[in-house]
Amino acid sequence: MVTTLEIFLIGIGAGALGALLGIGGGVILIPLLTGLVGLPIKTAIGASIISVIATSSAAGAVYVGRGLTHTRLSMTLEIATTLGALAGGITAVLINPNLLAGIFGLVLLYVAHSLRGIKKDAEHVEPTGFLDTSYIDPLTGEQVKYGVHHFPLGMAASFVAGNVSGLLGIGGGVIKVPIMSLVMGLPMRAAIATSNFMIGITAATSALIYYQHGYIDPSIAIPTALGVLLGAQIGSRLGSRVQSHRLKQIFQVLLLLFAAQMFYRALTGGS
Amino acid sequence: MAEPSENQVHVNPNLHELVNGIGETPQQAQRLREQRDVNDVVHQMLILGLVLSTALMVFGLALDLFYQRVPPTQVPEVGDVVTRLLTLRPSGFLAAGLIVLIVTPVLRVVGSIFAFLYERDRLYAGITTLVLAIVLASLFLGRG
Repeated sequence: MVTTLEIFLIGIGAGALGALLGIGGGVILIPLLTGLVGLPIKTAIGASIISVIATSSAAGAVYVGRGLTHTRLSMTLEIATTLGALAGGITAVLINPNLLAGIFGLVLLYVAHSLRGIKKDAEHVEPTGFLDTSYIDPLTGEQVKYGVHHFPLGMAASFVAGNVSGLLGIGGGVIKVPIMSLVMGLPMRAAIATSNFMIGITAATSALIYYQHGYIDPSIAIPTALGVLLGAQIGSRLGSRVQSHRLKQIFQVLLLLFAAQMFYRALTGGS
Repeated sequence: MAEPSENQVHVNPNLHELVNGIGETPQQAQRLREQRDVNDVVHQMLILGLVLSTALMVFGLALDLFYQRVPPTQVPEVGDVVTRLLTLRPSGFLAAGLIVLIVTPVLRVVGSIFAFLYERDRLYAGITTLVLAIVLASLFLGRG
């Protein structure tokens, strides 16, 4: 029997690693809770969605305070993410857990792939006359003005991100941030802040479904969430001191192992 | 009083002015101020919800430790939570912490509806109301 303390420590690890790599803790947390602790995948997803809400609220508050979040854009895209989460959450509670593990494995492969990073020579942002806004870059002190491109595509991507979030209990930033930055023309900082802001309400939508179906186990979800919150603090402080390139490579290997574990589970229905 | 020149850098101790900048035209300044109001509401609600839920969860776990019990694996009925809180049952605090945490982003949406209404921004009041409707739909469609 695992203790509350062990779950808490796993949460700290996942939160710290997530913050170091700039991804949510969910993709790390769920494989650890299923693989290491041996929890059913739906219980792990329920615990993860709670810690996703906690980290999104914490980071969301910080970014909004710094004025980096495009609040109006995020509130519009939330129509799509919450609809996606509603459908994903209902699917998650009904679907066969082995199938869920298989889908999770595929998403882990995608995350490992996307960790190569977004290469953009010089970020070119400009007002477009649609949802134009601005923020002060914290590093240069310059005002960055930008607008939004390809809004319908952004809505579609947000639906997919919300759907994956509701289905698998992860934040979905790995889908939204590249789309917002590369397709919708948001500066990277604004894309991260805005994506993060949307995650809270998106995760809350599916959490309401999990909660009512008994997939939120307080003995797991609470130590996890508290651990992830603390771990994220540690991770973001360590951030500047760790060689992120090396860390990314190690982490990519880890993700592939996690994916293999999920595929194994999908085929055998293993513990 | 001389008008500030265009190049003049305005540094205000107020963090919000600093991050949002000052508008170049009165209209833009007005827009930035409005944006700031919504952001303020959102910012405070997120922090309040997070602090409250963390405190409830930590207290619940501490109570479990005090009674030398393991935390429960199921959440009690929502209607039961208040009774359990009043009788200092750990499960009540743990469930209340979870509920406050889940409800925080929802209250953030409710808060922004009012903030937009206050600014007479009907379009965004409508958009945020639609988001709230979808979240409430999950509350009812998601029943076990």
